Amino acid sequence: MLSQLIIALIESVLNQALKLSPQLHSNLNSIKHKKLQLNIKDWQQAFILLYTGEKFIILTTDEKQADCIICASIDTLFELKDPAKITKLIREDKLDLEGDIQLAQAYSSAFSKIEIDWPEQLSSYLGDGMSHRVTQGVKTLHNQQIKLVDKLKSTTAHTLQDELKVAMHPIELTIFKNDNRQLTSDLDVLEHRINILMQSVK
Amino acid sequence: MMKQTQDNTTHFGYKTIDKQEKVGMVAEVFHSVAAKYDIMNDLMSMGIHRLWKRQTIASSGVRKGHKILDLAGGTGDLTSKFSQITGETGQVILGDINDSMLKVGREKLRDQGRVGNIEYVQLNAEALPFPDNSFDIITIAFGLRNVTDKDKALASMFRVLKPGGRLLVLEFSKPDNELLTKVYDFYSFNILPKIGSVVTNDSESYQYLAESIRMHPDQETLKGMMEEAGFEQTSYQNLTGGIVALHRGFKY
Repeated sequence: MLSQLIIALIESVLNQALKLSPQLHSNLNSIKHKKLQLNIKDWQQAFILLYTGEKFIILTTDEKQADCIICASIDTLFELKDPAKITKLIREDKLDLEGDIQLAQAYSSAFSKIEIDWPEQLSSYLGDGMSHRVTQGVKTLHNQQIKLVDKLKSTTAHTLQDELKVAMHPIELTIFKNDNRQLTSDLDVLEHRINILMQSVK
Repeated sequence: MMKQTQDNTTHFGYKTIDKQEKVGMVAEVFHSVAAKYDIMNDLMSMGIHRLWKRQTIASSGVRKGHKILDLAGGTGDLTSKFSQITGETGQVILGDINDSMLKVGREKLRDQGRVGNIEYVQLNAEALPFPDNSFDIITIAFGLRNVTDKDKALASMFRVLKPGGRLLVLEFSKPDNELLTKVYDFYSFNILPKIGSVVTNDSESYQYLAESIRMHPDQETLKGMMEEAGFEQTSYQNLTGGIVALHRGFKY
């Protein structure tokens, strides 16, 4: 029953996204009533995702009964947001796909194009002015957070590489790699010469 | 669990009555509760009935174009979801013996905009008014225990199901845990009728509900009855500790 509850929640989130991003309907129109089965490796659970033309329906399943069956981990499923990655993931054995690949690509492409006009959605609750301020505030906060994270990363790298000398500096790493390459090449030459000498002794 | 008696008597809750009387008495119960059926379902089960029904849909293997019979469909929870999945090329028949329940169901589904592929039929599950091999899926959710002659109803369902089709019976059953049984009994006989009394001003109907659940065949007995009727690959899944069981059987 817990899986049914989780699925009901996911279904309601997806349907909310469908309400807030109406262009999804036209993106999904070609795959109406087609069943995409997701076998999630981490959960050992299979789900059917179906777009009815009005809404999404998600069902658990213990059968193979879909137009397209995808078997992957949750992390891989998130990577599927980019339809171009599907073939790459199959080659890397991260994704098993049976059936109509176009169905998987259509869902992937539709979800990657979700665009929610937050100021418009919030304006019905907060009014135009306030909703503009809130969305701008959230955007500014988000940008500041990205800047802060970048700064923290750079400071940490600087401290570890230059101040404490715990980590290797990128230039040192490049020199090490070059030396390593030179050594490998010298060893190859040496090996070749030894082989020639061995043959002449025989 | 008590089997249906071989003579002309049957059970109405804990009472033994004439078979002819049961249809009328069950009808009275549902006429009385029809208007507040949905709200009572939510209150009594704390909303869990929605998850039980989701599990039923998930186990049905429903596809676009399927023809489905939702028996004892009441206020149409299963019909609503089925009609969305089967699409315009499919058909869902909401069947119920009780016209009050059918009216409430039809009104609710039309308000939701579910029209086009749904039909409403007042019928008796013991003598289904459809040709042989008509349906891909038949469901009966919380209805079988109210049927007077369950064997006859299962045989009738088997007849109208297409070869390869499946029957799903969602029904109250026997909890698989002693402690849960005690809590459940206390809830059913003490709290449930009080909720019924407050919300619908009718505690007797909910007293009948609790009694009829106890008189309904347990998981294994119902599975055996389905096999007797001709169903194959029968199985059941206990939901919420066996308070409810979902039986599934196929016709080949």
